[in-house]
Amino acid sequence: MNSKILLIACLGLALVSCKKKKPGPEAPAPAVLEHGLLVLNDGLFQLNNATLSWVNTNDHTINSTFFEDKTQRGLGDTGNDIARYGNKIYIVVNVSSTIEVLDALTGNPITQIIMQQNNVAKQPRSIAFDGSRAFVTCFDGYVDVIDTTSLTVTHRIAVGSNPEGLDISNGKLYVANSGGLNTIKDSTVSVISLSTLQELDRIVVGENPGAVCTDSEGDVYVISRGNYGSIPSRMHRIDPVTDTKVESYAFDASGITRMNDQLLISYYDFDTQVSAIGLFDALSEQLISPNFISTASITTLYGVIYSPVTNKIYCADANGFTNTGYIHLFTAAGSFERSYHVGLNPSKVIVYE
Amino acid sequence: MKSLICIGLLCSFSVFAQKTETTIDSVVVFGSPTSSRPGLITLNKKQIERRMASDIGQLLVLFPGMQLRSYGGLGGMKTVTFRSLGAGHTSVVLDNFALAQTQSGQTDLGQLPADFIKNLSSVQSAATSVDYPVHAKLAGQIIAIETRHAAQPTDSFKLVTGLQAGSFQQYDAHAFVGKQFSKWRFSLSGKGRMFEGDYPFNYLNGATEVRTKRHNGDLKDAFGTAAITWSPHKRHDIRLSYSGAQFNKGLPGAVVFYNETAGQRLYGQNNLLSLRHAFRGSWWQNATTVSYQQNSLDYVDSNYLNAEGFLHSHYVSQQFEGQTQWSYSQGKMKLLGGAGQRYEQLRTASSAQKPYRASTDALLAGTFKYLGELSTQLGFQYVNDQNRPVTSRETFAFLPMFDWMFRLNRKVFLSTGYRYTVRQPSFNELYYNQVGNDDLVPEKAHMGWIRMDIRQSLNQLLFRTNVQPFYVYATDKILAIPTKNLFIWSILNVGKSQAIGVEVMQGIDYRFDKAQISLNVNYTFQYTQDLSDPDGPTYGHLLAYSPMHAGTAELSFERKHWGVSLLATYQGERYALNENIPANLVDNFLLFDCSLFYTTAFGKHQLTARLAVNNLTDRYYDYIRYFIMPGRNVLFRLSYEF
Repeated sequence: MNSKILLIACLGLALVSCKKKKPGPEAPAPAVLEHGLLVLNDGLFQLNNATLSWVNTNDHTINSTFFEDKTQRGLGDTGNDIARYGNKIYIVVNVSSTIEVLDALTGNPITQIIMQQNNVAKQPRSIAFDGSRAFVTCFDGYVDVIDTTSLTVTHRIAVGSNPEGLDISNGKLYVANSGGLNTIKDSTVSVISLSTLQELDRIVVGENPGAVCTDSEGDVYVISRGNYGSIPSRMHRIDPVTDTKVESYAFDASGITRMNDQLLISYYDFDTQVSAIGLFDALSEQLISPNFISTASITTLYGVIYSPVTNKIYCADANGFTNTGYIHLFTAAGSFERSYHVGLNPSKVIVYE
Repeated sequence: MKSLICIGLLCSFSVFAQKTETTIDSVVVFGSPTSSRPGLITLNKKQIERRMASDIGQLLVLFPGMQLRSYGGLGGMKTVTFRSLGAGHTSVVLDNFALAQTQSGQTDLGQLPADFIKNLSSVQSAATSVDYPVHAKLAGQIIAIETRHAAQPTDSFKLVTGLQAGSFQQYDAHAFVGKQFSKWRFSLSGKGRMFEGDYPFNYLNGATEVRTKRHNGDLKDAFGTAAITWSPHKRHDIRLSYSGAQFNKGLPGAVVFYNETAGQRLYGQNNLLSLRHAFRGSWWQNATTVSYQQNSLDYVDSNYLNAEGFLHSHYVSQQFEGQTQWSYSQGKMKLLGGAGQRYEQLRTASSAQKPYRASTDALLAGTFKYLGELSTQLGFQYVNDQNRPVTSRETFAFLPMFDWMFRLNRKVFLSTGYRYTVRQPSFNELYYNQVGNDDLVPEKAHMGWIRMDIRQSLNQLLFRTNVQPFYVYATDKILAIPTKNLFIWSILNVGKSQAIGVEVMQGIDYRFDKAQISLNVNYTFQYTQDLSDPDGPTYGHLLAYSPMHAGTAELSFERKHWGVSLLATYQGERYALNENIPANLVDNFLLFDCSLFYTTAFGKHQLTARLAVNNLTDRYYDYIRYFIMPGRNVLFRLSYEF
């Protein structure tokens, strides 16, 4: 008899302990996009959990299933870049190897571009635009040219190994060749003529190039991420006229964001998990402030975005990479305003006024 | 980048081998209160055959406290976690020899065929048994596999052979032959499997249901074992055995939305040469074993986007082990002393690193039959890791365990126990490219339990009940987390967790005429919380892939020449990541499998036909998110025994 009571008690304990966390009420995806932030949450590898969050900056409500609400399907596996160009939004999804194109005014789907070559995923990484063309770096060693009207790939331009970031200056496209999947990393930047779509040159910058950004004068800045150990992550400047590296800077840097005539230089130390955001004057080419924004409240700095529309800075916090993250909002002077809790590994933001 | 994630899949080298242990009675045997081996749960040959399982992994769902992690269909990797402890806390012992798992930290149970098994056991404590290696007895849990090669023969000649065919072009052939000549016994077995692996499945992409086919899930493998046993005396055995295995399989990976390309393959070869001497005297028992294991593995990714256009990684791991145990029993007391030494090394063509590990294990144990039965052991483990010439580390630990069992009344036995266990970081965790971390310390776990066994008979009904509440507290958990970016992860000692739960088993047998109806239910409730960082966002949340509810229920009917059974398997909701939010929730599933058999005998010749329909309701489900399992599938097996 005692044993039966014990058995029942154990089963009762088990049943009582069944607490489920079901989805709670959430703001609906807006029909028209205005006064808000469209946040790309990269998600994690092989979990198909890249998402878009819509943050309403008027009432501060958040819709964390924006893409799914608009398309009735998931964004895919591991987002990597998002950009608004003209009346379209382009989302680069790395592991799913797709580019999703949405209407920029409504967020409604326009098309999905499958990025595969001979049944092998091209693994697109980053996107930049010029005229009626979008340029997409693909990890298979090419830059794909997409016609922004027909939304089809029209050309493939061979570059170095595992290209990452890219930007445009002086009629040329600058592409960072990371070589990230090789034992010996690449250390070059490919220069591509926008008129002939041919590679003109490769400039040696430093090991494992990643981000590329141009300033208001057209100078090209590149981050070489080193080996995450003995070789540090550094910023380099390329003269877009001579296509030569003219300077390497001694400070730590892992990301660059243009803010008018200045650059925001972000850095995340993987070992100490401490981050910093400095201010670099692109006219005098001097680091004005190594700690322009206080990052004390940021757990894992994963992206910095500046919006000339709102004149504000948006810092993406990956919050340890395995937890849902935050977008921290700062004024252009670096003062903290507020935070928004978004999806897993937020990295990029499109700002709507 | 996929290769980084694949380190978990990279080899859990396994070998198909031989022998030993006690013969247990019908169906499921609960930790028998009268046994000198408390905490033993066994599936016997009969129940294993009824399931028509192709590998061990498919059978372990029938054990309480064990959570299967299956990464796909027939060729997919399968591991188990016991009471939410990682797979590295479980030692897999195949015919008295522990399978090497130092490279990846786990054994791929999908590479251990289920044919020729006489008994499959979950062993919680075996302090004074000489049947398991010393270092296995220091692990959190033992999965013990006893095959026909090691079991005591009942006939001078035995032949078992069978053919199996099933859905998705699954073919299987196996044979065993054993012969006794005076004091010599020879046995030989072989098995081959083929599986196309292109099973169709549905999955939900947002609100959109997608129907597609698994790609790159094919499998070809072969296993063989030869054993010679010399018994100069009925209490004295010397067994020499060799086992080999080869496999060639695709790695379909997780289902990735919009991208079904997959070009990863795994080729492997495993060898195990072992020698065991066992003596069972009236007072003294001894088992001394030496073994050599070599496992080679080739991982090839033909879609890898590096400069070469492919990735090929080649690994060879070797393990040499020797151990001896002596036990002495007199009256109400049994004492055991044992020690073992292991040398393990890993070589890879792509790296100059040469990881090497030397381990010394020692054990003192005793069983005392005063005030019930107290079984206790104190283990010592010393590990010297070297990755010459760069790093060297030494760790040692004292590992106590006790299990005290006493009779409450004629039908009810109670017991309680405690174990402290550690698991060493694997070579992958210590050294793998940018991921490894040679500062890791062993993961530690304290485990406590109370167990109640009840046996009750009522006319022709036999009730067997086992209830076991438990508590586990783990520190320095070794976790892989992304640190440098989403693709570059690091292995860190960052985790703490606690698990509170209860395992319940209920068996009911009803015998009438020449028939038997059996109902066996096992259920595990466990509440496993992340306690890593009190200020972290997941403090107090359920650990990833730790369902609160899981269990099976099997109803079987057997009458003379035929039988039928229905198995229901349930796994509750769990989270794909530690953060308990709806986006990380993985659906629960309830599966139904049924099987039937007919057997006929002509003298000593026995012919058996079996048919199984698995996943009757054609449910699409996954243990690990997006590693989709097969839908409804059919298996037919014809076997002959002499």
